[in-house]
Amino acid sequence: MAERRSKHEIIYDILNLISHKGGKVKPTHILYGGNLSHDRLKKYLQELIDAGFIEKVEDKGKTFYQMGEKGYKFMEEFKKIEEMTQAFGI
Amino acid sequence: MDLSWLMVGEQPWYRMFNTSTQLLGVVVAFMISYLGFKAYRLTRDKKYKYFFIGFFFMGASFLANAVLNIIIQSGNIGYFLEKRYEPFIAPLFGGYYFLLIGMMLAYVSLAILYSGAGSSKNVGLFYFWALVIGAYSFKESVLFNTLCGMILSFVVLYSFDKYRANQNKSTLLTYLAFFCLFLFHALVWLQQVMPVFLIVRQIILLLGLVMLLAPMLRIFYGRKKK
Repeated sequence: MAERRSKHEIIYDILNLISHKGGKVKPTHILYGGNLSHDRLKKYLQELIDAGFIEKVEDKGKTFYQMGEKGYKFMEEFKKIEEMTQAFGI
Repeated sequence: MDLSWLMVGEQPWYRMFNTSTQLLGVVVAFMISYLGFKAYRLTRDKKYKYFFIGFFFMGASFLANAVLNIIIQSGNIGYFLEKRYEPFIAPLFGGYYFLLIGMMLAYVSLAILYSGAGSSKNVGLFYFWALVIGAYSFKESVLFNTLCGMILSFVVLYSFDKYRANQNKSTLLTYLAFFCLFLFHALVWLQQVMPVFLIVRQIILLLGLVMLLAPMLRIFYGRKKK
């Protein structure tokens, strides 16, 4: 059975998804790719906006989520931590 | 035949080599500790707490030992020998003593981390035990190193288990690094009968530190893109 993702892993997965789509995506893309329920996704997106990792933007009447500078920095830091965790097997 | 080279421990080049290895240990341990601290600050996960505390103690201990070596080299050891630096009798020297036995506390931290005992409420007892045993065994190099080796053997076994599970090259390096550190402590027994093991132990320690440094440099500076 697959291990449950930690909160930070979920956040990283969401940011990674946005980053891979050019830094700006529709919420439905995150919903499908993030493997999360609608309610949990909403909660996580709000948390990411509050932390300044992403921002909500309107374009031609549609809602998009755009990656912020802090989001990219978090991803970089988290990647290092993941590599360290794997290297030490902790 | 001149056999004076066998008195390795007395040679200035040996002390220089010893100090250099310890200074490398300071850099490596503090580098890992810094990354562990960043991980703890970001995730607030307890496992990173024990990780960064462990390597911080290791770095502090290497630093204290390196400074002591430099003091010996400069001929000022008398200052230390005149005083009994017992932790509970002379607090000033006790502080320094605490750093010297930091190596044992570092291994206790890593053993707590790998065994998953970090969630236990009595984790402070492990540190207390290590502090007391470490403080009173430090003057007996063989006993101190044997105890360090025993604690480290847990870490070696756990890290080998982790390597078997994920077959990762970096995990192999860290497992081998811990194994080198274990050998460094365990070979103190052979050093009693064969002085050449003084230098063999230092080479093993150097090897272990380089193995710890390699994955860390890759993490800090990233992989080169082909």
